[in-house]
Amino acid sequence: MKPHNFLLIGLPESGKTSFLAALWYSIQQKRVKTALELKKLDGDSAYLNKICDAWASYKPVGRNQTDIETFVSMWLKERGGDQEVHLTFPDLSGETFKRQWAGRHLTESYQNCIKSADGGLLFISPKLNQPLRISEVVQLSGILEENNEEDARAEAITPSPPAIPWDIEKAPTQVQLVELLQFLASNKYFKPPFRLVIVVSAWDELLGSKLTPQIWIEKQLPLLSQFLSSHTDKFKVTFCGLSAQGGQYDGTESGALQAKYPVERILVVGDKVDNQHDITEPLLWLIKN
Amino acid sequence: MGTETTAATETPANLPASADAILAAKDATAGLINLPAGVELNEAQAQKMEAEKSVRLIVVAGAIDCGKTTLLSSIYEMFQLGPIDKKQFAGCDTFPAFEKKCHLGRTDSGNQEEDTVRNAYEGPNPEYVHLKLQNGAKALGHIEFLFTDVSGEMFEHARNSTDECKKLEFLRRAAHVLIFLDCDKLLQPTKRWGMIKDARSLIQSCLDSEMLSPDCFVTVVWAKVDMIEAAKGKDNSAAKELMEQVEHEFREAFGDRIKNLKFHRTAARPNFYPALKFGFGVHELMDDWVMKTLPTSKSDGVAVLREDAETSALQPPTPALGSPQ
Repeated sequence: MKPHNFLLIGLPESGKTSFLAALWYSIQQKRVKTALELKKLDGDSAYLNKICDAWASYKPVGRNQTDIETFVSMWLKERGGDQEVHLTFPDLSGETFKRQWAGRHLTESYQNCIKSADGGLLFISPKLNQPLRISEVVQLSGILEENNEEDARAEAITPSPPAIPWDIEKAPTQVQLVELLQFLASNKYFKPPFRLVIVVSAWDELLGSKLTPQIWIEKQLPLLSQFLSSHTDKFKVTFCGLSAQGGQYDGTESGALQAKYPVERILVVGDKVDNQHDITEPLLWLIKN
Repeated sequence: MGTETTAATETPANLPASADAILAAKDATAGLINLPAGVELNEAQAQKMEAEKSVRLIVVAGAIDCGKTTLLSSIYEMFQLGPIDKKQFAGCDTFPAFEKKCHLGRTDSGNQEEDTVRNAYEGPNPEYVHLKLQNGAKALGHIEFLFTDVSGEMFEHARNSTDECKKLEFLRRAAHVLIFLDCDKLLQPTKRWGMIKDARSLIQSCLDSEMLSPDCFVTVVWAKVDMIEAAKGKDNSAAKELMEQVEHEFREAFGDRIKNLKFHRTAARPNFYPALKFGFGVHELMDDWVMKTLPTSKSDGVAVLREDAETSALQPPTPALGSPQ
């Protein structure tokens, strides 16, 4: 039996820990049949149980702390099959990834994770940072049409000084994500083709868009989409939308959410997804492809 | 992009073999590995990149504030909206540098009007930004580009002295050289003739100092053509007539010395005539950069069209003013 090590990659609050919490619950229950189930407990499950308890209680699982890197391990087996799978994930904080972009360094322990990784999941929150060009806003508001040309010209010649200095942390989400993948692909331990599930989290908020996760990425993160399609030699990719929570805990739908069996509030959407409540399907794709 | 370990701490153990649910928790700040800064490349870094792989060098030349950096920023911004025609973004080694250049054109800056970061002149020390593209949906190979990102002052010195021009080593390696003509100045009687003379002197100096490869593609770029389009009546027609005269004069002056000379019109940020749309004229420039390269270039595995008598008919036409793309 070959152990599998998967990276969980994502900027802060992109859904990595919620995924782990919902996964830990899902593989220990029988009511909703998941492709993978827990084979045996092994060692200290305190962290997983803690985040899982919060998830099952409809409470925020909390964010991983900046300077703590938690490695999580699970012994799973394929339901109805003999294949056993030993999965390990480093549950790195989003700040760890933010620091790669803004601080221009990575931790040695993350480098060691890359060394042993067979694949990964890239988590993307729908709350994107997408800076607007000033002209886009001006055109939208129709201000340009109202100004006469001479005024516009005079203003363009003497622009007002910027009120806000450039801040690298406010770069577009898609730029930061592409840079993370560039750093990964250029790492000396990177092994192409690297299997990667692109996970759009909080998918329940995007159901109204009627888009598939892949099309949503193409439309909302075109730079990332181009990068992935021009690096098929490096990254073997599939896309999925995932709602580990199932909805907002404090919204009007919280009552309906709590009335559901916990695993049935999970939503997984994607081309190759058979059971929309089975959070293990993205892992099965990583294991089998 | 490489990585470099700088911390002297012990390398933490690889992922533990034991199956503890919590295998390890450690202070992540103990061992840090430096990543590339992503700022503009200096001359040595650019030359190293050119030595290691096939890179097409595009020199963007012109006076102060003529739109050089705005063109580069616009190309970067256009890729953030999607592929440019069939050219897909495939990577960038200078992300933070581009991001900083774009800042003054974004609402995050607090500006009311778009602006561009000016490059300070610090002697003949060019800087470069990098982009990697894929031409077409299928991976036929990537094309790496380095763009010079230098201050207008550097070119002022070069046009005033062939000795200064000879310091601009990058000119010798250029696959494409863009010489900018500023349409804003073309509309101003007190500035137009000086602007035209300066551009002409720059080309003359580059040629007389033998800094341009005979096969180099030289494109004279009319930048900010949205200002011409926005000009009314006689100003508009007079400006267009003058543009044609200038092109004729430049062809007469340099046509026999520059094998691949052409003229092109752009409005990277057409705020004065939005109908031209963001990145007007950029598509055709990029077609040139992708399809035409120096015969001496290292192969980058990409189908290349060499510009010669047989192929010149395939050139995309300069977009007509007033014809939004």
